Amino acid sequence: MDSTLPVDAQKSALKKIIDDVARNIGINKKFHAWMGFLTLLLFVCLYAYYIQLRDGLGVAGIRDYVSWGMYIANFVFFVASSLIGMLITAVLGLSGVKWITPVARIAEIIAIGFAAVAGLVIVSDMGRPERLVYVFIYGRIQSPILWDVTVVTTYVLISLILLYLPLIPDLKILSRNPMLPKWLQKTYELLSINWKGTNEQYQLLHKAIKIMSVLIVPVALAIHTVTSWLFASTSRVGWDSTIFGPYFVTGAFVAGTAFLIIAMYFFRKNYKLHDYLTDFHFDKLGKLLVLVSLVYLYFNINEFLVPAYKLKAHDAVHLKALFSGHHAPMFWSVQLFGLLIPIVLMLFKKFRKPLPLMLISLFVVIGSWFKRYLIVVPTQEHPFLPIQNVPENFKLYQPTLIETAITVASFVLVLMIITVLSKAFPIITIWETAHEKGIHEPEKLSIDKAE
Amino acid sequence: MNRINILIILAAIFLNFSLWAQETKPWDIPEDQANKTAPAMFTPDMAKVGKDVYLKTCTSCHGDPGKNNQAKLNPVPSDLASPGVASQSDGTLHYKIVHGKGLMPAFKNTLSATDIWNVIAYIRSFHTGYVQPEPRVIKTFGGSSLKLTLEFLKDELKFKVLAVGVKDEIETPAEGVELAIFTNRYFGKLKLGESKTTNAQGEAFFDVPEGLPGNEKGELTLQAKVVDTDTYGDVMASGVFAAGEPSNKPGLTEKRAMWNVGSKAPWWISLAYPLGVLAVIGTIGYILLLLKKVYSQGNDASEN
Amino acid sequence: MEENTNKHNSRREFLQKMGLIASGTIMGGAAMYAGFKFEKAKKTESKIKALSAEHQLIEVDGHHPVQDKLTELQMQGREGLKGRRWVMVIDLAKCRNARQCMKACQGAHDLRPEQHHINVLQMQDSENTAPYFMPKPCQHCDNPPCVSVCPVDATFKRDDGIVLIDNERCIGCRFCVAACPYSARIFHWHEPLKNQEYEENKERYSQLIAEGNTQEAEELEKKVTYDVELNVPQRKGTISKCLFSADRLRVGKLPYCVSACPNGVYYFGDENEDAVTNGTTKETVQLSALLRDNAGYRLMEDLGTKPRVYYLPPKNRLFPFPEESLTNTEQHS
Repeated sequence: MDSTLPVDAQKSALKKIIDDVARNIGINKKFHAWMGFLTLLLFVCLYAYYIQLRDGLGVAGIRDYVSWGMYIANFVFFVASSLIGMLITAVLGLSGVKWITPVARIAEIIAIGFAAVAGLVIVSDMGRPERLVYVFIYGRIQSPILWDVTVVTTYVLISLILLYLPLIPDLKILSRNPMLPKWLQKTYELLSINWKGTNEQYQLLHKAIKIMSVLIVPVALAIHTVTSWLFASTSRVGWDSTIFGPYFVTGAFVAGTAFLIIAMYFFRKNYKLHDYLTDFHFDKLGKLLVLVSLVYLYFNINEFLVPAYKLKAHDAVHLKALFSGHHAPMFWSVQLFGLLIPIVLMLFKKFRKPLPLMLISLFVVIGSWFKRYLIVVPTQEHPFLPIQNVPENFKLYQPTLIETAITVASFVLVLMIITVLSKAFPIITIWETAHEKGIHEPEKLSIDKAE
Repeated sequence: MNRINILIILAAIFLNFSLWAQETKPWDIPEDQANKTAPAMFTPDMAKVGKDVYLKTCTSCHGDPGKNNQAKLNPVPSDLASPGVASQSDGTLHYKIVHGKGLMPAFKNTLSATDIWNVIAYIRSFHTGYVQPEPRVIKTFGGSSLKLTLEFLKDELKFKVLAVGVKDEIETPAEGVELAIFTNRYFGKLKLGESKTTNAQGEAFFDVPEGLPGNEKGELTLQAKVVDTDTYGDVMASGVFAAGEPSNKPGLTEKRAMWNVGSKAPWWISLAYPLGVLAVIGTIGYILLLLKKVYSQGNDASEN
Repeated sequence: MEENTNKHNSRREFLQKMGLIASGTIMGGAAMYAGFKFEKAKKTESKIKALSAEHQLIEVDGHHPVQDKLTELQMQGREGLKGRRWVMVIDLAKCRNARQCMKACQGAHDLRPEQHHINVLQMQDSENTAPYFMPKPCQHCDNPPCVSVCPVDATFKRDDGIVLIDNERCIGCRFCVAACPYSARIFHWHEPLKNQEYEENKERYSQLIAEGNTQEAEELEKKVTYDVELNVPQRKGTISKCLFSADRLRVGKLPYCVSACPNGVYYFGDENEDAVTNGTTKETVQLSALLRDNAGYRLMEDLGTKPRVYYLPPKNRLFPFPEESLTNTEQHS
């Protein structure tokens, strides 16, 4: 820490940070256009959901044998992507990694977006969505669904708290900023709960953040482990696996990190945050993505090699469909373009520059989505007993346009949540950045400036 | 996939043919069975009882006699008033009802011997010009009717059935009568062991089957029956004896289990789940407390 | 004074925190609100105009009179028959794919032709072993994986061993479908087969009640009342499956499929009585002896599901299996 920085220098440095961040808060034309586009898309997709409510789940391609399809795969993907909040704030934050400072809030916003919409995705898969409340009235604590509902709600709540806690000093700093509209200033003032930036307050805040960072670890592990148990608690081939918990969690880190990189790239570009989200940060995140991808690759090898070595009767049928049958093109594309090639490329420094890394992450995210599809769907096409005396469309799952539209709607919702949160609050933490730059008491300095 | 469909259809057709071929195999009725005659002359009363039985068990396929409204099955069941049926002997009809064939079920376990002859009496009432042959005469013992008594010999773990012939109110032990014992079960009567023939004293002894479940007190509802009902009619004796195992197995849902209702969950889940939830809520509550402190600290700071 | 402001502030602060928590639950809350609204909308829809006995136009809640009855039947359905443990034995040697069981079942439960509570499968255990027909109902397991995973107690196991479904409770998550290793469960992806008939009856019923025509209403009542032991009327967006014809057992009759079989394939009875009755011949035999003498077995014993359905091996089969084995049409492509 450079504690000898003169007050004037501190002031001007702080002003630059505040200006860079505050510039992006509030509504502008771009926001209108983007949200307008998302809203339009959402309404088109919600019409598809209306059709599903009216005519039943039969409008989707799922049938009696493959009864979980794109919705559930998408749900797993959403839960997976939301884990990034925990990975960045808790795992890296608690272990004292410094470079996460400008990234943490983006990660937390992504986590909230995906976790919150994951709950809605599950509702879209229900045959009787109006009975959702029964889960709370008649809930059986033996059902993994109940655990899932519990932990997803808890995770959203904790993520919101973890978004809010580090926001408190920033809200205070910005509450007198003339760049913001009056009502927003008032809201910030209200939300900053009397923050003065005293030592005692900082101690309390750090303590609260630390406790929440610890708490979110088991909860986040639980949310994805429980999600994996939705499958692993059955005796079906391809799901009946003891490593499903860690397999899902590591896969989640891959999907989440990749999504974070994409989000960072767009925030950096659109919010002009090149000074905060630097090449250095992309480089670090690229390395992180390599690490988690390697772990995930390791779990993949375990998950497929062990049964492929023994070729038990039903396993053989399932693996054949993945390796050389009906699902082979998707399976190998996911493994190659979503995992292996990205790992190899990202080993080189020049591929960890923002643009190439963002493009690689795009592949990884798409691969991650289809990976969930491959976990959910093929297993159900190979039950223990033969599928007979039913129409052809019961035997192989073919997603319909309507369920695709409903799935798109869920993505639109996530984007809307991320957009709104990133417009309503400073996307880069001001006080932590200021502290790192040797600016003390940014609260006082910013208020002085305003007055 | 289409080729497979065609295969299925072809196979189904092939299968139908083989079934159909089996279905239309002619009746193979032993001569002595075909020549069998009723135990008594048919009376309008018998036909009346027979009608009730007919409406309950036969109408759904054979329709009402003479109205040609049979069910559309393959092969089509006969209209029982038709000349084709009228020309068959009593024994033939009896055999067909008792044994069944193809879609025609066997009624030996569902209708009593008396009821089967009652139904034949009812069918015969539609056959004009039918002349009933001489009823079969009971030759095996001197009595005109048979009486059974059923007893449980507790010490020997045996059931004793005594058969006596009654003639002019004089009872004489009936020798050589084949008997069987049954116990009531939910959907029918379970035959216990093999049938036995009475000795010179008119007695037959049956072993109590080991471990046969009775009611909660171990009671069995038993029936002793004459096997040759054609000869003797539906003669039976019944009684309730504590000869079985008490069946007081607990209901299947009594124990705690993963699949049971929420209140009967395994104890470790009942414990772990609320504790986990409480721990999280407690921690969040503590965070809110910290925030409250932050708030009051701010007040102090502004006053200073 | 100072204390006062503190109190005031802390209340405000409390409210802020409440707001924070509330925003956390907004997503879930919104979804639930939508659900409530949806149901409410449905309820108001079902309000119908009817002429009262006094010749006045009144509005009647189409749901209400039926719903009171529901609980009674559902309670009864959850209890089961005391002291019974139902068990089914399927003699594979006798099955020749007559499919009367499937037909009877679909008729009784208002199912479409592709919906099977019981399905006769063509099996071949390995390449060189003989093919055979295998009727497959729900196995009514004593360790039912489907029931374990149900989040709302919509599918449940009764004292007498039967696994039932309450389609007034089912939320349609289909976890049970995923959990069942026997593929015994079906889902109503569209409106059920006789839905229109049911809706019409319901309307007529409410009208009769409104008119005070209790006699006719009573006659119609059975058709509009949900019988959990028959799972009729079936409902869109809910699960259905084999119920061991729980409604028939209650009145001492054998299940629909068991009675319909022309070939003597099915035995059904009470394990506590150690007796099963053949649906075709109506002959009652000792269950333990039947299983012992014919080497009875259960499906997928290794999964630990403890089915209540036993099979007798397809030896000395009483039918010729078609030359062209159909097992190559299995799912295993």
